[in-house]
Amino acid sequence: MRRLLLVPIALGLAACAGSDGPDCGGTAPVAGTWEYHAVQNTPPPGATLVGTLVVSDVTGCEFSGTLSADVTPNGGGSVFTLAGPFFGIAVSSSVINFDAQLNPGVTRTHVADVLSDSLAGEWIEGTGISAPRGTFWARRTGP
Amino acid sequence: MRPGPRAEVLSAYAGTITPQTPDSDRAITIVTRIPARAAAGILPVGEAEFIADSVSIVVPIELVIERVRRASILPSRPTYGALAGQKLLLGIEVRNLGNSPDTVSIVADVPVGWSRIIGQRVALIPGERRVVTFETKVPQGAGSTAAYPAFRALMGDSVVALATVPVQVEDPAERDRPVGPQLTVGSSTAFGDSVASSPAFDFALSGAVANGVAVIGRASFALDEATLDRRALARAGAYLGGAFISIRGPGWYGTAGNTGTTLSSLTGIGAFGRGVTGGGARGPASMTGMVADVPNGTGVQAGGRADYQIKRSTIGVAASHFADAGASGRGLDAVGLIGSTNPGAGFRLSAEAAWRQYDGGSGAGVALGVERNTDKDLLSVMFAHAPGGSQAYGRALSDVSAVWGRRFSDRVALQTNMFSSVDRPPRAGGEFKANGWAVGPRYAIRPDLSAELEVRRNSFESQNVSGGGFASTDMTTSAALRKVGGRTMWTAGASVGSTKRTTTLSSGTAIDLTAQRYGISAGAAVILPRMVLSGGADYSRSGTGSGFAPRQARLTLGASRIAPFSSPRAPIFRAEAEITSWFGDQPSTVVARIGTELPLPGEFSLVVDAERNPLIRPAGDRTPWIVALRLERGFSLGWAVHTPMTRGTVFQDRNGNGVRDSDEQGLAGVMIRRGSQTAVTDGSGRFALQGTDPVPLEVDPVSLPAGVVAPSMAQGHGAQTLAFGVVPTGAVAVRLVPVLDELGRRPESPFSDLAVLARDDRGAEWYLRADSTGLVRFDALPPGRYTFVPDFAGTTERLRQTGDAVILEVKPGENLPPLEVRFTVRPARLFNGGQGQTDQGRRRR
Repeated sequence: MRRLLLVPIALGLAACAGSDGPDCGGTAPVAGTWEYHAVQNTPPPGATLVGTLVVSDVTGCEFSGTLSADVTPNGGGSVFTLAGPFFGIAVSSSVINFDAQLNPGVTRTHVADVLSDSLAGEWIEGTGISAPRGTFWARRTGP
Repeated sequence: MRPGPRAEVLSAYAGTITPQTPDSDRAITIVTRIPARAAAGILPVGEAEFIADSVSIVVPIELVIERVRRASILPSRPTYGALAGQKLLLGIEVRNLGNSPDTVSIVADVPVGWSRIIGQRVALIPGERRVVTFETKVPQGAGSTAAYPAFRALMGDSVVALATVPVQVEDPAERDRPVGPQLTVGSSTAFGDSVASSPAFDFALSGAVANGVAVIGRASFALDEATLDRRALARAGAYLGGAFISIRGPGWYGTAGNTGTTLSSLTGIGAFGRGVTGGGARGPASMTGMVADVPNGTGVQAGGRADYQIKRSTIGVAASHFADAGASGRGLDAVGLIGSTNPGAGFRLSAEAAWRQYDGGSGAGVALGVERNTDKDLLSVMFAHAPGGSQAYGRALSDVSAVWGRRFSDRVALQTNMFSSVDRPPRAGGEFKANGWAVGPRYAIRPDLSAELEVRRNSFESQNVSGGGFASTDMTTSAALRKVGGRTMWTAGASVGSTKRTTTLSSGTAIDLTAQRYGISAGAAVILPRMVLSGGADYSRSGTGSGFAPRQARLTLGASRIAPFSSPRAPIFRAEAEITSWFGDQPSTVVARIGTELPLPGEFSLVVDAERNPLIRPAGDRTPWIVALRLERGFSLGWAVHTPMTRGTVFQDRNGNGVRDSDEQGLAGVMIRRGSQTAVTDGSGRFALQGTDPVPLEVDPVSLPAGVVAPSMAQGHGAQTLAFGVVPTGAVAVRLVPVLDELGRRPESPFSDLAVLARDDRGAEWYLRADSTGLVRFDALPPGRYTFVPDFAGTTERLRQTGDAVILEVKPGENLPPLEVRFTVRPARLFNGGQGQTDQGRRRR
């Protein structure tokens, strides 16, 4: 029994070796309302997204809010909207991750560099050989 | 022990009881076999006679057979054909499968708009079956569609049997309407308590412009793009995408406007723009091509592909010049050679080689594929190496994927898949890797209930040019129970897994976050006569401090296709709500949506959709209801395309001569098929199909009533009047009549243990059990000469046929009075209990 308990502890130590925990400098620097722009590059023909990112709650390095964006398919077709909550964490004073749940059961993972009032990074939804992914940027428009 | 005539005693018939203490009890076991379908009530097993010295006591041995209440219902035809606006008679065969006389109530649920079917009650003795006819009417304007009236058989308050009757409905109004292009014009707007959308207008064109040539197109414009609420208008059905028009004819097609194409894995996937695409096929040769501008004018998309088929193989060439310096930043100049072959056994092999030149380099690409698709197996293995990757109109720089699925039996199936890809965008730099696998066995506990398990692992890793990166690995095990049957569906599942995220900063520091995750979910849907109800709930939880939603619970409720009125021109409503809680980490949300589709006079229709969604407009204190309205009307354009019709009749060829004689009537509700087209015969047996395709017509045998066969399933074609003669088979009833033998004994086996064999001159046999009255009905014997022989294998009583063999000539459509087949008891054989008799003292009859 003792040996069974030691195995996950050993695995946990191995996973943490050579890495640090989040240190965002006290508070995640993302509170406020952001104008959100994104491009879906894969799979083609992709789409263009424009919307709003509202970070409504910041607790230490963790933060949450809602994201809504109008999606314009590049190949034509009608515009539609994606909207849902997101939860994230600032892994450093200048890098954040957050997962937006824009469809039930499917999360869109974002990773971005924070530079004052702007964000720039990448996103991927789910995984797979044809997983939708692309880039995004955001501009802070309000507190 | 003296066995009774209806029971078989398996234990010894005689024995000696050793003396016991006076007044003590002694148990004696008698083993008997209860006849199949024994009637409810008292079954005499026999008499036990106890003899001591000269005193004899006879004790009757009886069994009480409990009452079993069972029934079955079956449609008289596997599928019914019906015409919109006309009466429909549905025959349901009811059978008492219980062991006592009983009354079966049959009630029906019909599709919306159909006239109500009045329930009926049928009294049946055990084994008896009867066809009960129900009348309904399919409403005018029902459209050509499939419908499924459902029947329930009740005994008392219990539902004992269900039957769904497939009905293929043909709407003559659709068939006879001249086909021509139809233009639908829609006007939409949206408003809330503080917002109002610019109105938008959209146009849809569809229909035939000439015989065999169809057009489809869409376009839209808004008065003020800046205030357009695209989401709200889309909810009401407005099309706000790019304009296009497509024309498709026999062996060719073309699209102008917003268009796109995929030439091949290596010469370009997902090219799009504003321009033209087109293609065609002639004999073994086919080609396709595209010339378009990228929407923002930052590039040109031009490419083409030609293929030639040689027996089971195809070879082709493709060339492309695709450039999009805009949003996607892609570019490719390529030329490729493509081939595929079907070597048999369900395999398909494909290969492609191409030279690819892109912004930042060039190189040779190769793609290989193996696919196999059989009844039991699905296999697909694909590999591609496309220099330039996704920035050069490829999926990735290199990717390999495999899917394998196998159905081991009706109950057990397995699905597995794996993938791995690497992409290095030459211009943007960096690298993206993704790989994963999944294994998912499935076990069908019952035909309508299955258990599913899936173990899945996915990971991806993205590295940017500055040395930073992000990696994520998910491992999830999930299990679900799923039931899909009749009018209900439900599912319940649970999952457990973990996610590990590693963020690498430009400085090289890596930050790991790992979270355990689990969730449970359940959902159900039920189809009611006037609506579809659905609901679901789920709860998920993730490790804290990981950046994931710590807790989430969601409840969804919905009702769709709500049809409070029976008229097909009446409004249809829908309503749905979704309540989500994050247990204080985020404010809970209630998303609600209601809507209706309202047909209006003059071919107008109105769609109203109202939504309250706090996720869409989270900035305000109060979430408004946003209402979207759309009014549309269809117009037939100036010309109509009169498609030549193929007409014909289906008649009862009573004398089997293949020609419709004056006294031979048409047959209603029979389906005629030609490829994907279906027509249904009217009360006079007439049918009509649009077009004169050179494809043979067939009478669909599943729509024929019992007692009718179609001697030829394929007939001629062309714009001519065709006559299909279906030959009524003969119905023969045979009554088994027990008679006394020479000793005055009468057979006592229940009739339901007996059967009759009908054998024609060619040796073909038909076998049927008798009902409880001794009647055997052969409903559909093809014309011919038959010998009818009783079969006594189902009873332990020794019986034999008396008199001459019963021989009959069956003629088409003839219904004769029941034949009589007489039978009696075989002469008794007595055994002397000598050598070879192991069952001492046991007598046989």
